[in-house]
Amino acid sequence: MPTIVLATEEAGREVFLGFNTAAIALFYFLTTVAIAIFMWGFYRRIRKYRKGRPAARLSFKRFINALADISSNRTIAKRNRTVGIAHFFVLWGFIVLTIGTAIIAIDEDIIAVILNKPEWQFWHGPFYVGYAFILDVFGIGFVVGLIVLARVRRSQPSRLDYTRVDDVEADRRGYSLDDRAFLAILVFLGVSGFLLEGFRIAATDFPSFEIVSIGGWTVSQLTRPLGETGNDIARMITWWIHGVTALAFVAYLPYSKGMHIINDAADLAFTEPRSAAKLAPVVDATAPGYQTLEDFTWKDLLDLDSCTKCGRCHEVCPAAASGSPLSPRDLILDLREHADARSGIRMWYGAGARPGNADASEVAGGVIAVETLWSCTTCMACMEACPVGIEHIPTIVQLRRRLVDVGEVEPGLQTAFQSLARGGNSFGKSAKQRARWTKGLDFKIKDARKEEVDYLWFVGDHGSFDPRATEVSQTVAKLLSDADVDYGIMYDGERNAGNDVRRAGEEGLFEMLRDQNVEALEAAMYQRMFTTDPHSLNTLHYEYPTDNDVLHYTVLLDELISSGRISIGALHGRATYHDPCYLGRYQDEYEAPRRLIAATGLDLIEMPRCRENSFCCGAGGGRIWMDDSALEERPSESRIREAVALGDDVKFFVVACPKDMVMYSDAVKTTGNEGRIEVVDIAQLIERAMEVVPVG
Amino acid sequence: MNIAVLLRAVPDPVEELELDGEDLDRDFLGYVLNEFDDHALEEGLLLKEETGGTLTAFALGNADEVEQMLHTAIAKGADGAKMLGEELEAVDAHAQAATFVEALSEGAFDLVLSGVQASDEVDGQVAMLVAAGLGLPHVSVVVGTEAGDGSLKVTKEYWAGITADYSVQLPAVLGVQTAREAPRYVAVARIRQAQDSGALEEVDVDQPENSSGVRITEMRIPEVGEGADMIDGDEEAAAERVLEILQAAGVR
Amino acid sequence: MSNDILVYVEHLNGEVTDATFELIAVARSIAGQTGGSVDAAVIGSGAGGLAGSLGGADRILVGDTDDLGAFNPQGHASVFATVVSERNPAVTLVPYTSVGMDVGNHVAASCQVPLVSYCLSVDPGDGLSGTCQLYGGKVEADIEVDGDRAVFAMLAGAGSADDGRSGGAGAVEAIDASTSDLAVSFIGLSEPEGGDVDIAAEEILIAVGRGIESEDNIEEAQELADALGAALAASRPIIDQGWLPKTRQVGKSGLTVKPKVYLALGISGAPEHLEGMRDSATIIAVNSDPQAPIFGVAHYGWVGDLFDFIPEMNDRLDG
Repeated sequence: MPTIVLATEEAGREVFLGFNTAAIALFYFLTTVAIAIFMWGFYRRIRKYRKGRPAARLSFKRFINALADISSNRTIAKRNRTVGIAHFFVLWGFIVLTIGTAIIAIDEDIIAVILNKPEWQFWHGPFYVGYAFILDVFGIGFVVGLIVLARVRRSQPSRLDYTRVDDVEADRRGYSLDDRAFLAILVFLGVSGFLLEGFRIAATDFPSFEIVSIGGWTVSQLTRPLGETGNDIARMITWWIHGVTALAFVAYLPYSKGMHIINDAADLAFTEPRSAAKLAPVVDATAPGYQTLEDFTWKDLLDLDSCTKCGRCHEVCPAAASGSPLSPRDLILDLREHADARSGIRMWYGAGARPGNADASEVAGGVIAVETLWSCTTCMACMEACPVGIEHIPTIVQLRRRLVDVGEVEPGLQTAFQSLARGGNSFGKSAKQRARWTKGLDFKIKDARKEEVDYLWFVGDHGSFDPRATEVSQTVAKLLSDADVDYGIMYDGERNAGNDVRRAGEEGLFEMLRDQNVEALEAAMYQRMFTTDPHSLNTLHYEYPTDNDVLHYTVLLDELISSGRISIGALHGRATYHDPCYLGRYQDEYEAPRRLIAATGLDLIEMPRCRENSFCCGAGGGRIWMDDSALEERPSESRIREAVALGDDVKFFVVACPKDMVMYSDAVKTTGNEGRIEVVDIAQLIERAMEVVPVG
Repeated sequence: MNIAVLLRAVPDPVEELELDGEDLDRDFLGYVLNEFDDHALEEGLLLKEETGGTLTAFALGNADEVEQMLHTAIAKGADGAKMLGEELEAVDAHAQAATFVEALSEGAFDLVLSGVQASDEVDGQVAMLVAAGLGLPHVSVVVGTEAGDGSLKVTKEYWAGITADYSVQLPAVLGVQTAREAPRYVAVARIRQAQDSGALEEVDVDQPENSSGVRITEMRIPEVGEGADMIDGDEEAAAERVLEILQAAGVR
Repeated sequence: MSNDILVYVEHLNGEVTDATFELIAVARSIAGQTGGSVDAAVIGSGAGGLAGSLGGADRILVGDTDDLGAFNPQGHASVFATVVSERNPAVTLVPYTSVGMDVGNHVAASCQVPLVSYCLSVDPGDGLSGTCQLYGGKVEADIEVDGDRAVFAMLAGAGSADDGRSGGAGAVEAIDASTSDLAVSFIGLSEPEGGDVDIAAEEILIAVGRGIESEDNIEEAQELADALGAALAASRPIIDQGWLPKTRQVGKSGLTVKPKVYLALGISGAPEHLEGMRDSATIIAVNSDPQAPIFGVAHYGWVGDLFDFIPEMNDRLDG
């Protein structure tokens, strides 16, 4: 096999080959200017974030997590492998090429000149060969990755469509220009880099070790016909073009989409995925929520700048999908434009994409429209989809707090609040009637306030009052009784847990309900608590001072079935399961319900949007109390259509949340699918499976 | 303009009422603010915002619900609130009016607003009786006001959407049906702040006595009847039956 | 002291209202028991011309004046109060309406006479007594009056307007309708934009409530109304949303109606609404909630989806 002699010992190259002093000086001058411009832009951003309110976000665990996220690009690859892999190569290519440049600077500028220790220089020999090879490989990956991303952008996926979902006029051509410019500059730098390398190799008589520079070497073979002088001239020209472009890129970085390089790393390092589940309390009771930009924390401000307009939040948002004027992406961008204007920052592509963002003095109702803020169901799909850690929901809740404080609350929501304040439920009923649903049972459920029980069952509002959900409550009661589980409820001591009240911005009412519930909970005697309502589960778990270990009833049923305390037979047929937002994304519980469905023998067919990507029924965040007549298509209807599309033989739409039961039962009717698919709660499936157990 | 608003606690219409002889069984009765008084408060607040001046809320009976009503009024913008008397008892409109009249005579009010009616006024409307007690003119079923100079333009609603405008010289009393705008929402947190503000004053008054000359001798829950004759079946059966009924009623 | 019954005549735009004729019918029935005469006092602009339609009364007291506009809460009330204090009737009847509220309360206060509100019926038997409807219609109360005279504010439906209309020609007597130093002066009357329906005059009403869910669905209900020759009415939430004009509102703050047929679609039957339609001759209710209170007053009911019912009806009526 022929050996390739690389003459490694001689490996290396001259920097500034053929440059006179003036040229070199010019280069360093331009470098200084570029870095200064960069520093200024960077400083402006830091200054903006420093104006934000404090937030405790330093976490070693989070840092490590962020490092893993960034180095693997797993948040980008989630549900989009192509883009994830392409971006991986772009990111690592960029890093490697940057390190490569830094190495030269260290070797040539710092060690050789500043420290004046030429004997310490290392950029030659085997090191150089390895260096050259690695850089070329990553350089190729860089360019290929960019081309793949460019093609994805060219295919105009809907998530990259910047059209607003509300009726506001906005000129977003600047954003698109910025996107394309960024991509173009990077591609240009990559390609021109290889050209430069090729010209250099050809102009320096093809040193043998340069064969490892696979990209540059290939180019040099193609440019060979230009001759040594020709290549050298080409080299000089390309060097300046490439160099100046690179410096211009550095300078332009903080004024463009390029800043995501720094911002997004920081955002991932400081983000708190649980911030929607465990909301921050009101800081100043006389001025709750966010009124002006000054109320935002530095993390909020960082969020605003971290958005790369990838459109994933926009794509998964049930409010946007149903035709309401909310897009999480537009929310962030509008706030960003406002923040930039208030800080005197003008982006090169134009700061006022939406007129009014700059001047508005009020954020809630000014920069962001009232209807937009009320459209959110707090399903958390946006935060789950966001690859960079933006926290949309806590900001929306803070703005809602402001709306509630000034009385900007629609009539339906007002009625709900008033009913909750009076009777502790949103159904207009008196508190005394909370346990009326138990009358349909032929046994009496224990009162946990009067006698000790193993399990306290927090029933929840809908499970106590809505006829479709009380049916499920009765089924659960029977199942547990048959399994001899020792459980009790708090009867009229229970109030709405307040999860949705809090997320609708009525913090005072939430506190009132919470205090009432805590009083009842402290008086009740129990070992563990479970609930049939995922919304209650979330707030009891994260936002109540008492017992934080609350089970979802599916976890309890799972224990009972796997331990044999409940025996079930086999049902036949195919079912699909809808992951409730507040059980799935909020509590990471995906498996217990699935195990239960499997235990009944049904075939589970997953909908395309399942698990963390489940599609909200539209009821959360107080939306179930608000008027939805303006929506084009209710999220629940879209979801039923998704289920029905799975096939005629999928007969069961399985739910594990009372609001899901209510919303989807309605949606089956309004989409004309009655008889085609049945909405059934897990407990009801278990009950049916119990009925087919052979007797004897 | 110095405005007084009279608020009354009435049995919560959502509750099932139970009777105890000639009166309701009030042991476990829930009370809420009379809906029309809420509108009166809103109209008063709007006028106060337009003309400057003060707004004072009055309510009868020392009970949690009454306190809550008054704190809510303060949270919405009332400058002061007075809770009159002791227990929340069942007293007729004349007695309520007499108590209000006494409390009002101590202030110099240009305008007294209250809801046009309440569900328990068997012997007359408190707002109008207060007017008579103060010797002031009154207009009932008011659906809007507009401040002028020394006089108030008042819109009164008749029926079928017909309204009339009046010029009323102040001081006067108005029985409000609906305010110009829906009663504003006030966040629970603000009501709590009102509780801490101390703007609520408890005033000792003589317990009012019924003096209207109208006595309730018996109360009963009217028979709902058998309830409706329910139609069985699907929408086709329902439509068919309804058309039959329409024919029998002589309208088809 | 007299045994007579005095009726306040409520009128607007040159017409005596049905409420007044109901009062006359009630007055006649009381007179039948006590033997007194029925006086009707008509005050204000064009009062003289209205006397002719008040044949049901024995004596018509006419206070014709143009100083008070269509109605003046203070002016009309004080003129009437003078009549009451001069004539001292045993029973004074006013309608429980916007007009009657001003008049009744003022008279009761200035003449020191008991006032019975929300009144369904008057019994002049052993002392004055009657029956009232309180707490939004949830409670009926029997009352007794101290003394032998009182003002009664009668609810719609207390008497039969047709009965009140019939009768001969009563004697006409002029009364002094002059007033001075009124603090309340009439500016003008506003009627809603012309062309809209008076639902109180319709024979069939189709009423929609929250169950109609959105403004778009009102169209279909209107189709049904057109096919039946009916008018569309609504409960308060629909009017508050602005989906139908205020003139279509049935209930406490809207109109009281008594059509031959009242078809309630998607209306739950809150007391405030029932107040406005419970005396309809035939009430048919459609609601998806079997526990909706409307089924308590309806004559016929169907538990089901109004979005199934309306198209089915429209289909059948098309053919």
